[in-house]
Amino acid sequence: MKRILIVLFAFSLSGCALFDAYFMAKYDTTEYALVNEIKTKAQIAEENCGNHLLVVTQVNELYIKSLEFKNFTMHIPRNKDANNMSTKLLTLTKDTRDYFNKAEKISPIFCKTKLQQVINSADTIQHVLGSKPR
Amino acid sequence: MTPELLNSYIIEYNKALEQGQISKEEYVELLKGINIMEGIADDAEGLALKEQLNVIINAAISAASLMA
Repeated sequence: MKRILIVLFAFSLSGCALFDAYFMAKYDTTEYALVNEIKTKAQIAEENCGNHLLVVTQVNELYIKSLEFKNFTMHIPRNKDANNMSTKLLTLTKDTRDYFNKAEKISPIFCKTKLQQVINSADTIQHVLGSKPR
Repeated sequence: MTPELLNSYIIEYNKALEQGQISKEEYVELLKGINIMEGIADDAEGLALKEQLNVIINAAISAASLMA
């Protein structure tokens, strides 16, 4: 039933949407590896929430990796969706970095929850990038 | 991101604020984060739909070329 609905939806779409879907950017190993690295780095940083100095360093690295991810997705043709997501992930990691750098004291719950936001977002992106056509 | 999930995050943050586990500034920062997460989830949904369409189009092309 779900498949029929998708097919009906596909036929009701404009030619432009079909063109976009057919010629979309294919799966890219580097793109996938970069978002995987961001997620892993955030998971490691979350484990170190008790050590302020260490977590600040790791959050800075997280921002640099996100910038690299955004820059990588930028000029790949028909890759607007991945670029939009990488830009938003960069904003999330930049906000995190800025807050962690300016705050004198960070509560452990905030540290874990904020890094969870980065982990969840990176996981969402990783899931769709991994499902791109080969 | 489903409204239920969004709601559960907000309840969790409200609880942490009420219990004094996080400061007001941290609470605001977390809400800002939710907003970005929601945007990422929306973009991911759009891309997932395109991926499904891509599979369908390719299957239709394969079927058509088999019949030809």
